[in-house]
Amino acid sequence: MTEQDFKDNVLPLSAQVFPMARRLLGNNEAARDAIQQSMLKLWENRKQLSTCTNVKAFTFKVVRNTCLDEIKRKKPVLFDMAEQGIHFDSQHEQNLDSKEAWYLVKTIIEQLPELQREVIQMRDVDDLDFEEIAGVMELEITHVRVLLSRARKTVREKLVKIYAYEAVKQN
Amino acid sequence: MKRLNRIDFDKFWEAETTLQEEVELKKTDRFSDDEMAEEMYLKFISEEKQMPMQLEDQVWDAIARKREKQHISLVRWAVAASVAIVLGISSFFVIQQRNENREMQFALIEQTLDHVSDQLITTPGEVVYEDNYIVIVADN
Repeated sequence: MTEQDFKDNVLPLSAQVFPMARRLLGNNEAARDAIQQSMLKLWENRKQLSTCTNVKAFTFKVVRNTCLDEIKRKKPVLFDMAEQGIHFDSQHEQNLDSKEAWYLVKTIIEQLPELQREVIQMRDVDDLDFEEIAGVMELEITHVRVLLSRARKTVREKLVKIYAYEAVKQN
Repeated sequence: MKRLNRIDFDKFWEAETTLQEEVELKKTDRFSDDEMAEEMYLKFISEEKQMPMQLEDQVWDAIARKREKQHISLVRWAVAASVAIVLGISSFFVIQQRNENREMQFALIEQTLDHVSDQLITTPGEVVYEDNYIVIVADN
């Protein structure tokens, strides 16, 4: 793989893996470091990378493993939205409901079983297809489908309940 | 302005949509009153996707810095290795020259002793042999 191939096919994945790294490590800085470290590994092994059938899934796997190693090495950082640098636009900043909604969905997802949580995040936030998720998590594609279906159903049920409760309160 | 059918959302929650359909679905920005859950979830996804500016450039800069460091390190090692090789070769020649000189001196001594042995009948204190380097005096 040439430098140009790497710049065209692998480097742009930095942005796509960022949400996953941030989820795993809890803050922007650690996520950026993990991605840089992973990209360096990939750059140093770019010859082998050219023989890889699914570069995207492989890149996600490398970044995920780097993050997991980092978590093992260090104490996990507590999730902090401010430190995470989640930037709401000006309209959101004025609207506390948006932040509350963000926290609510975050909490619902955090409460899912581990595999379901990872699958729903990889699918909905990272936009990975079933094959790529199966590759990263070393699962069967059918298992991934089932996990995603269960996770989304749970999220929906909980969100609907919250809104039903809110509606009753307002009335 | 995007507006999708309720059926699309139902398919989404059942995980029956394709990735492409979901990408389109996530562009939805108009929701009806009974789609609060969908609105909340899709906004959450949108927030989660946010990332620092110029991440790609930062990552490439890190790779470039590492490459530069590796290059500098390689140059340093190459210079050190070259100096070591030059010193090694110089030492080899110096030692070889020294050994040659010693061999010549031994040959000279040997030749001298051969010469002296022919004239062993001497009186004490008599100079048996003398040249620019050696003076041999009879002892008994």
